[in-house]
Amino acid sequence: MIQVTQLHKSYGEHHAVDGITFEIRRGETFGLLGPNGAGKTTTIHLLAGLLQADSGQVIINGSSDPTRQEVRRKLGIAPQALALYEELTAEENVRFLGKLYGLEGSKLKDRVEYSLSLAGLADRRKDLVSQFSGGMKRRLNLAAALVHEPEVLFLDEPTAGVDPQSRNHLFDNIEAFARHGITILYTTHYMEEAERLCDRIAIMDKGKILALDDVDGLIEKHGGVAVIEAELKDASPFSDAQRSALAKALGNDGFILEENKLRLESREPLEEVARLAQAGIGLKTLRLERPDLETVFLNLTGRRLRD
Amino acid sequence: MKRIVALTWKDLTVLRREKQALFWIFLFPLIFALFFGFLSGGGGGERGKLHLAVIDQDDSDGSHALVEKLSKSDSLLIQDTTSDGKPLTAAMAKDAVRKGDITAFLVVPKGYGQSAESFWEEGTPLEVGIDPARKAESGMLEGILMETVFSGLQDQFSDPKKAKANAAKALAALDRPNGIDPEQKKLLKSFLGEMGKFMDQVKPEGMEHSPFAKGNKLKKVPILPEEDSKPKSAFELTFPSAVTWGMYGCVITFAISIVSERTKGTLVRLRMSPLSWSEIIIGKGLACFLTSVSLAVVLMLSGRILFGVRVESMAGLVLAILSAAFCYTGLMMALASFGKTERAVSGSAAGIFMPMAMIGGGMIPLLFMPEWMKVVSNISPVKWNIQALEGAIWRGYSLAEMLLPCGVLAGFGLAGFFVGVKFLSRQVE
Repeated sequence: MIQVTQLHKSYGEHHAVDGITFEIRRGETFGLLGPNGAGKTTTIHLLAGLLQADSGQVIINGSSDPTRQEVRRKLGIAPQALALYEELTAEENVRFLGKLYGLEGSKLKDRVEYSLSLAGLADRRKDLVSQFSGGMKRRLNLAAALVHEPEVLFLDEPTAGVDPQSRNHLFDNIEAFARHGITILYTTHYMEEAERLCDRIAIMDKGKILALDDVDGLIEKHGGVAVIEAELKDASPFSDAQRSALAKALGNDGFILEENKLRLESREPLEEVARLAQAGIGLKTLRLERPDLETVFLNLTGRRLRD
Repeated sequence: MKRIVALTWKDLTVLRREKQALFWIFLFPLIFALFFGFLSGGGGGERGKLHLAVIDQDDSDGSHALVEKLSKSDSLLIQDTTSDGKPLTAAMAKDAVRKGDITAFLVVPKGYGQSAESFWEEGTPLEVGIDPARKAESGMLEGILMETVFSGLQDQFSDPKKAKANAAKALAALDRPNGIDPEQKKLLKSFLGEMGKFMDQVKPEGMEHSPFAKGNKLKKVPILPEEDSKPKSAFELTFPSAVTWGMYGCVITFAISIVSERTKGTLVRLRMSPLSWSEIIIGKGLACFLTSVSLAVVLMLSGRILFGVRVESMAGLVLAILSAAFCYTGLMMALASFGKTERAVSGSAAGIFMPMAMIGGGMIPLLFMPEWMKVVSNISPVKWNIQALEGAIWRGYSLAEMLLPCGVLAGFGLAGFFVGVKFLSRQVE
């Protein structure tokens, strides 16, 4: 659906987007995960034709010019800023955008109804947007992107600054879009969102894509090992023989045992715990730290996502 | 076209809900027109007149005639009693002028009537006091007084009965000891005797051709094509200025709305839609243009209904309003490109428009400005806007004459569009 090849965009010496290449499949929810300033919004603007690239190519649905009207009609965007007219009602906002896309009559009415229902704002349709909470505005911001039935949705940090309830509502909406076959490009700096919603994720930092895969693939390739920390039931100091038995049970001696506190790293943490049980080693407490996208980002950049 | 209309309609709906913007576009100009209209005398009322207190200490036929003539002046508002109906004294009048309650006072001293009828007695001087802050009116009042006194003298010799009586009085006075040289006295007696005989024989209508009645007079030459083609009231001057101020409100409101589209992110949505950049510009401009036209129509209609503001040329007025609206729409585009934030645009608007209004006659009429300032005012669209509107309302401009101010306004508009579209496109990219 979308092919991006060697895309560059600089502002003076600053490389906002630095030679990124990726492909988004039809019906896929594709995530761009990275900290603020990574180049995610610039990428969306380049894809949408709002910015002109210095070099590289974007092909959307076979067209290399996203500013063409027939391409534009297939694109929808929920900008990071709440792009709504506060002096208009919810319905007037959505209706106005529908008209810009040439909708009219019963078609316009149906789409406005659908979009407002989806946002859970059907009963607040006549209220001015200025009277809405932040979460309601976010939902309307998303609904406004949908009114013209786009095939591709650009969602730029769509949950920024919303309460957990509204966030869940937005997640449900986005999952519904995906079920309807809409291709979604989703940018976020929340790894939980990317993990929950995205089929594939590109980790982005300083204008570059550092890694691209599905969640499991990213963790497997870049997440490193899981960490098991356990407190053993037997509080007495371990003898050398007991240490040897433990190493035999775990199949390696790459662990640290101080007093009754055990710490070990493994790519198969659950299997390690099972082996301990089989060896008759009782555990008082167990803490398992699996690698996640945060770890992936940390391993790739040496920084945390929200640094 | 439907998309442009949708964008324009959206902007007009937003405007309808912004009470503050509506105030500056529609209400403030109306208040401006009313305030300065009433301040400048309104519909020909008494506030535009020079407030003159008259104290008649002579109480003679001559002084009565003088006061009556002054009362008939269009430029004076005569007051001879206090607010509670008591006769004004010279001290009270002087105090009132000092306090700024009235502009001037005139004391007609005892003996004025008698000396006015005398041929050789030194005239009793009229006493005049004028507020030192009202220098412009000082000359005007002196002129009115001189004209009135001379007019009284003319009356004396235009009426044979009055002239004969005066001649007889003068003859009697000559017989009294008065220190006049005997030779001169003889000549005067001869002249006054002949004058008395002449006045006996002449018919009153014949005096219409006498040298006294034929004094030099001012003949008013009509400046405007029709007799009543002049501002009938101050409102015919203040409403065109008010239209200018309303259009300034439009300029600020819509320039800010363009910047807001950018800062709030809605411009991203507009640009993501199938609207082209030129359609977005036209849609925004159309909203400003329509609002400018509406406010001009509302203001002129209010002036017409409430104060009888005339329209000499309806076609001229339509041309003036359309060209002014086009001008200010273009300037709005340019202004929107000057700042990146609403505050910057608002500041730029005030910084640019206020001097334009000052030098263009939007605050003080060009009439009161020095010559060099009148030349400088040509760079101000405000001047051409007011000229075009006044041309259509009461100056009696022909359509051909309307072309200059309207053409200049269109030129300003085009320049504004050019600058605005160029820089806005650059900013958006």
